[in-house]
Amino acid sequence: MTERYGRRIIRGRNKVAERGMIEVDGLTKRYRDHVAVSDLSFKVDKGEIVGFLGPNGAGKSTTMRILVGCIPATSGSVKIGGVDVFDEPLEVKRRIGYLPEVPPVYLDMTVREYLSFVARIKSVRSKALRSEVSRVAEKAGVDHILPRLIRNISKGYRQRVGIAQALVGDPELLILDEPTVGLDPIQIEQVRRLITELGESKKHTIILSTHILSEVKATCRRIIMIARGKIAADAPIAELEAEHGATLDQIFTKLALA
Amino acid sequence: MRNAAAILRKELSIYFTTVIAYAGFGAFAFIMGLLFVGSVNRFQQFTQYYLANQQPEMLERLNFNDAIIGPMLSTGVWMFLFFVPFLTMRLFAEEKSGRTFELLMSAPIRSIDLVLGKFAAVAVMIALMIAISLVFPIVLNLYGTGPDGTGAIEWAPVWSGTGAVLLLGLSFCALGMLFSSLAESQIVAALLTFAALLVGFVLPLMAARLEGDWRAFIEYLAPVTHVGRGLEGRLHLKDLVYFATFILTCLVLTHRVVESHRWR
Repeated sequence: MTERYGRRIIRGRNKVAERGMIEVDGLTKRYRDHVAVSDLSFKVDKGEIVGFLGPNGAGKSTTMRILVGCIPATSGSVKIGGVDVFDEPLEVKRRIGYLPEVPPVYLDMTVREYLSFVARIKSVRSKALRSEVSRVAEKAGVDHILPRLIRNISKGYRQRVGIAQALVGDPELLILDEPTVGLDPIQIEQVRRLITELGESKKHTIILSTHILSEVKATCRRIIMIARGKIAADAPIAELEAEHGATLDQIFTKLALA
Repeated sequence: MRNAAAILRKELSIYFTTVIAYAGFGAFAFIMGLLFVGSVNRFQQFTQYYLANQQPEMLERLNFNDAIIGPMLSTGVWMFLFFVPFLTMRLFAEEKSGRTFELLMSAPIRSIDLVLGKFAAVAVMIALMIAISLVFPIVLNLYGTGPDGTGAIEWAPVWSGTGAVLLLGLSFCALGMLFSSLAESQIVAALLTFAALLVGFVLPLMAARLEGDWRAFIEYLAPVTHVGRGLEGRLHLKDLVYFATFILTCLVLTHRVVESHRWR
């Protein structure tokens, strides 16, 4: 009976998933008097790569934290694959890989121990654990430093371990908060290629935040621009440029200061 | 439960990768060793005194359990004042200051798994620590003989005493974990735990100046009171109930604190 119940849920979910991977409706987050995010609404379809653009402090990280169920919203709703984040947080979290602003690594663990731990809490079967760790380590380019203590590796490598962590379990939705921060130009290129690669398979939906404009251009087709907690623009890059008759840099400055 | 086991494993791996386990166990073993040597010396002095004064009936009453192990454990309990905050301060505070709390919050694990996993880890640490002190009765048993030629140590009171001390340690650890979940920094967590434990230790001293119901009440409240009977070889249900309530309350409160992070 359990099996039937489970199958029913999955079938239902697939139906909604076709419609949209993420549905955000009227999302608002208030800290006492300070409004971090105000009345945000947008939709992201399955397989899309969306750039979250905005100046520092615009509310990008706050929005992402709400999307992954780290913090609750003051009002509004978030649905991931048709499932409400607040009603069924565990169900949603199983399908998300999240890289926070600061890579959430334990300094006193080796890279291998750390990735194995993440695999365990993301319910990767113990038989598949080793191969899953090697898979994500290879993808993020940290397979040669697996036995090293995270305390002793550079900032760029910690960031990459953070990316590897988000890939564990091959989640259908990846939420990456400034994934290329602290990386050198070669590593930035590698990460961008990785994101593009993941996007090409059409199995993954990716949201990445950044305030580096060349990054969005290199990886995303669509951007959602946030300024002072509100959506300033939500359109494909080409469309935006045509509409404003300007480059992305100019549009960014214009909208951010508006 | 699988998630709780993953948390337990991670916590233990960090305890044993860092210096915490080794420094903690080493320092505890050293101090217990000092207490042990002190107790043995005093035992010797008593023996000589009774021999010199021809008091064979006193000599007969003298035994390792009451003269060495008991005092050693009851003094050793004071060491929790320092060692428990040392072990528990990092449990949640480190996750928050190191930003790894976000990983746990965005992972598909329930707060209860988090709390139980972390408590199990610190419980293993305190149990290992107490297990170290079992080496002393073993040494005594190897080198001494009892009145009828059997072992010098009567084991039942050793077990009950160690068990009581373990329950006390677990209670303190649960309290320390609660403070760690409340504090943002490890230092603050350690300080709050230390202060709370100190109050616990001082309560019976305060009770000694009072009389009647208040005295009984405060004595019951003090965790240390409930170890006393165990050290004498008596395990009372009321002591077990006390410790179970203490631990459970702390765990429930910690769970509430962790859960509150999801609603702020």
